[in-house]
Order: sequence, then C-alpha cells, then structure tokens
Amino acid sequence: MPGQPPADHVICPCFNVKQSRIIHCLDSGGARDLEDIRILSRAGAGCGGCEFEVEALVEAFYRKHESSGLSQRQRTLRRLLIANKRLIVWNKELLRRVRSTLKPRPSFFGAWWTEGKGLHTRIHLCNIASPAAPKRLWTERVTIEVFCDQGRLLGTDERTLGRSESVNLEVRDLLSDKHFSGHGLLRVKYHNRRALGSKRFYSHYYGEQGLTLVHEKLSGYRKGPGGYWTLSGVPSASNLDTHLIVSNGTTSPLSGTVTLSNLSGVQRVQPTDLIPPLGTRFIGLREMFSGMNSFLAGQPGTAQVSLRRGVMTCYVVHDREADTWQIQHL
Amino acid sequence: MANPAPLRPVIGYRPNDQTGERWLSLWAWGYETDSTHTTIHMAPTTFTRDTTDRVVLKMQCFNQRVAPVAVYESEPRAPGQHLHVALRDVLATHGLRGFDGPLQIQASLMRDPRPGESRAIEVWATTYTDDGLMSVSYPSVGLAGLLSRSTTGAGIQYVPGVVVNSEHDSELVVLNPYPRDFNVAIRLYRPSGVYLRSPDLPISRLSVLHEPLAHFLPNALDWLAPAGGIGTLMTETTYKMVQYLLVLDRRTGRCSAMDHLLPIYP
Repeated sequence: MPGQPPADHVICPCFNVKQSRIIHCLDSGGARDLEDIRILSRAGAGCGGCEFEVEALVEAFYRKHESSGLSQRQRTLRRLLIANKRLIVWNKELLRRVRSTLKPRPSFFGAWWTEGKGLHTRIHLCNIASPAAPKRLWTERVTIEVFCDQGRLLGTDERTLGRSESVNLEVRDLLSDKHFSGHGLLRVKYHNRRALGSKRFYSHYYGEQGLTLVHEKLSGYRKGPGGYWTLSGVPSASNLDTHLIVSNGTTSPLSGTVTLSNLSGVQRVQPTDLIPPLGTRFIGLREMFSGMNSFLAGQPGTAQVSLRRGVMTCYVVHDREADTWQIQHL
Repeated sequence: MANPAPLRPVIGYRPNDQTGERWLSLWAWGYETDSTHTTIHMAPTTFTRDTTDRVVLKMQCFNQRVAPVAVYESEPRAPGQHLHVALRDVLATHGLRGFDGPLQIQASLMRDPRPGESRAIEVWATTYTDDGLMSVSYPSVGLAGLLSRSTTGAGIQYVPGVVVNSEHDSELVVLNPYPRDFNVAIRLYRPSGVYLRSPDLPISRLSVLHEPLAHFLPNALDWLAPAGGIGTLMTETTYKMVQYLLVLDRRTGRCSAMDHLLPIYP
C-alpha cells in the first residue's frame, strides 16, 4: 500500500536491526519488553530514537498474543524459556570478558619528542604495582621507537622492567644520530597489557629555561570512531604563542581540520597538512589563523582538532618574553 | 589506607542524588587571591545530532561547607557555544574576594539524556598570576562516568617522573569533593622500586590541599638524590580524588608545568 513502510524495514538504523528480527526475538526468543529486545537484538541500544517503534511492536505482539489465549502452563514455560535465554546471553558476555582479560595484548602509547634549539626530551617509564593487588604485576618488556616528523624510524630500544621498577631515558641516547635536531612521535609498546594499569609514562621537556612535563597519550592508538579534541582556552595574550602537535599513529596518511572559535561563537576553519604515517605536524595557531589577535579580541578562544582515529595530540604554549614553554595534552 | 574504608559519602554531589540531575559532574581547582586568578573554560559537547538542544552550565564553589559559597548558572546555550568564566567575577557577585577550593561544574540538557549521552561538557581551567610566574592550563576531572578520558579510576594514582631536586620542586594538589574529612598519603619510589611512604595527612571536606612533596615527606629531596631527583610518585586516598601535580623552578619561582595524575585500576 502506498505510504506504508515495507513489511521488513529497518527499525534500528544504529545496529541495522529489521522488524523481522524483533518479531523473531518476541516469538522465539521470548523477549517481553524493550530491555529484552535490547539484550537479544541490540535494537534501541544506540541513539534510542527507535525506542517508541520497538515498544509499539512489543505492545502489538502481546496484544495479539493475549487474544490467542495461552494457558497458565504455556505462560510458565514461556517465562522459563525467557530466563534461560537471558542467562545464555549473559554467560556468553561474561566468557568474552574473561577471555579478553586473560589474553596478553600489547598496549601502545605515544608522546611528542623534540631535540635541539636548547630543548631536550626524556621519558620516565615505570612498572609500578598497585598496593591493592601487588601480585598482579610481572616483569615487563618495553619497546621504545623514535620517529621523525616524516615518520621515519630514527632509533629503537628495548628494556625490561621488574616489579615496581622505573627507568629514565634521554631521547637523544635512543637516536642513531646523536646530533639529530628535530621532533616527532615517540612510541612505547608495553608487551603485556594483562597486568594492572600502571604501565604508563611521563615526558619531560627541559632546557636552559626550565622543565615542563606531561603524560603520554593512549587514546590515539585505540580503534574507535573519529577524533575530536577541544582546547577550550587558547590564550590571546600577544606574548603567548600556541602550537598544536598532531601525530599520526596509523599506517596511512591523515588530514583533518582545525577550528578556532571566539567568544561570540564565530568560527574559522583551516585544513591541516597531510600527515604521513607515524609522522608529526607542529601547527602554529598564529600562522594558521592570520589576524588571530583581532579575531579573539583579547578574550580566550577555543580550538578544536578534528581528525580520524590514530592521532595523538597535545599543545604547547610558548612565552616569547620569558622564552619558556609549557606543554599540555588534549 | 590502613583502616577499612567507611561508606562512600555521596550526598548531593553525584548525579541522580538530591538534584536529580543525570549528567556527569566535573571538578576543577579554583584558586583566587589578590595576585592569582583562575578562568574556567567550558565547552558543551553533547553526543547529539539535534542542534536545537540547549545546555545549562552550572558552577558551584565549595569551601569546607556542604552549601556552596558561590554559584554561577548560565543562560541556556547551544551545544558548541563556548563560555569562559572568570572566577573573580563569580566570587564578586557573592561579595567574596579570595577562594581556594574545589569547583563543581555541571552541564545539563533541557531534556532527559538518551543512552550514550553521558558526557556533556569539556572543561579546562587556567590559573595565572599577575607577575607572569604562573600560567597553567589543566583539564577538569570527573569522578564517575563512562566515556570520559579525564575520569579518575581509583583511589590510587601516580606520576612516573616526579621531580624533586636542587633545581625543581613538585607540589601536589588534592581536591576532596566529598562532604567528609579524609586522609591522603604518598609514596615516593626510586627507580629500583624501593619506596618511602608518608604518614596519613588529613584533608578537610570539600577543600583543596596543595603542598610541596616535602610537606608529606620532609626528606624527599635526599631520598631521590641518588636517582638525580627523579622518581615515581604514588598517592593513596580512601576514595577517588582529583589530583594535580605542579612543577616549580626553585631559582625563579616559576610554575613550569601542571598535569593531572594517572589512575591505577586495581
């Protein structure tokens, strides 16, 4: 009939669940309500926009079902079937989670490094046990790789850390060319992620003018949907220069956009250069957005970096008068 | 901690409690003196495709009392419309000049959240001094939540690479967002894995403790000297608390870095 949806149309676009699947859950799976449908078919577990439609289907199904008139014994059997089905689903999920924790998996972390111009980088890696569960930690093998801004491997090292041990590493000692001047991505691989979450590191950036530090980033190496990072406080003072640091942790080139907003909500958008695999870009906001001072009008601004997954971002504020640097992750 | 933990107090400070709000609260450090100022940068970022949504931002300043000493509430705003609030202005409307305490920031939509809409705001704070010796930006931290990267995970947090030597000193900032007094203790690890533990220090309810590491461990400088003044700091609190580390240059007095601690998930 014109204007009517087809008999088996998609109810939940988030998980591509069709009407027939929901009817199947109600008929054979024993689902009773929206919550059961969510567990059995995932319909309604996304944006929630289809909840009303699913509920209407459930209501219609049981209205028809009640009119058919099941006996007390049939209803009891159906309830047992539902309970059994839910138990199976939960057991499967539990098993999946237990298996995922037992499987040794490496974890990757990234940080920015720089050498030259009076600024040096060192990292402090540790393998600290948690007092709450000190036995859940073992000797750890760590691989450190240093890439230049074009993604070329400049040096690598491998260390073994005992329980609660830590180590300081100067990045220049890891480079095959000790006098290399530049910057890029530093990637650390902890080989066994099964232990507790104490395997992380801080980076120190130091020179004649002082020391600044920041923790590494791990989100850039997770598989997931696209990346949006917000820096809500871009300084507008004339002596402060803000630079974004964007590293590509993937094996394919990346590009994206940087948006700068002022207090009035006006936005300016600029595309980034193409970042090669494992490469890094050092983006000066003042260079990227000409007339930034007048645009921000003496008020803090907001920068948003929009890129695909596999990206590590942080930002640096350079005080030109004091010649000091401060770094912060996004 | 040595003693078993009492029940976690949650009265009125978490979503779904007295206020009935269903959105994640974020906590930041508010520090305002005659020469030191704090600006709060708030960017509402909801997980919604509906551009007609409106967000209300609310900031409460606590100072050892259950009732906030100052409250700021914005007009309904569109997601993506950013806001920068000077703490000085908020305090002035309540007749206050100085402040040193935790700030609770909440954003709520004008409707009930859908599944997955757990985080609605991105908040950063900037603390700076008039003499230019301090100008640091740092993220606020949530005590609970699902998808936030700035969520504390445990009462045990740490910093690999803490610096205490003749050139630099480190200061720990601990926010107690609970309506009860608690204790905090630190451990300072050498690279070999041996550590020194401080006694438990009290931190008042809804207050901020910010002290150099020597306040917790008077011999911290000597303890880390064989390792070049660099070690690993671990803090132990009864419950999750928001914590930051500041690095100070002893020669110039300049605050050169500030970042939050990392959680350990037991």
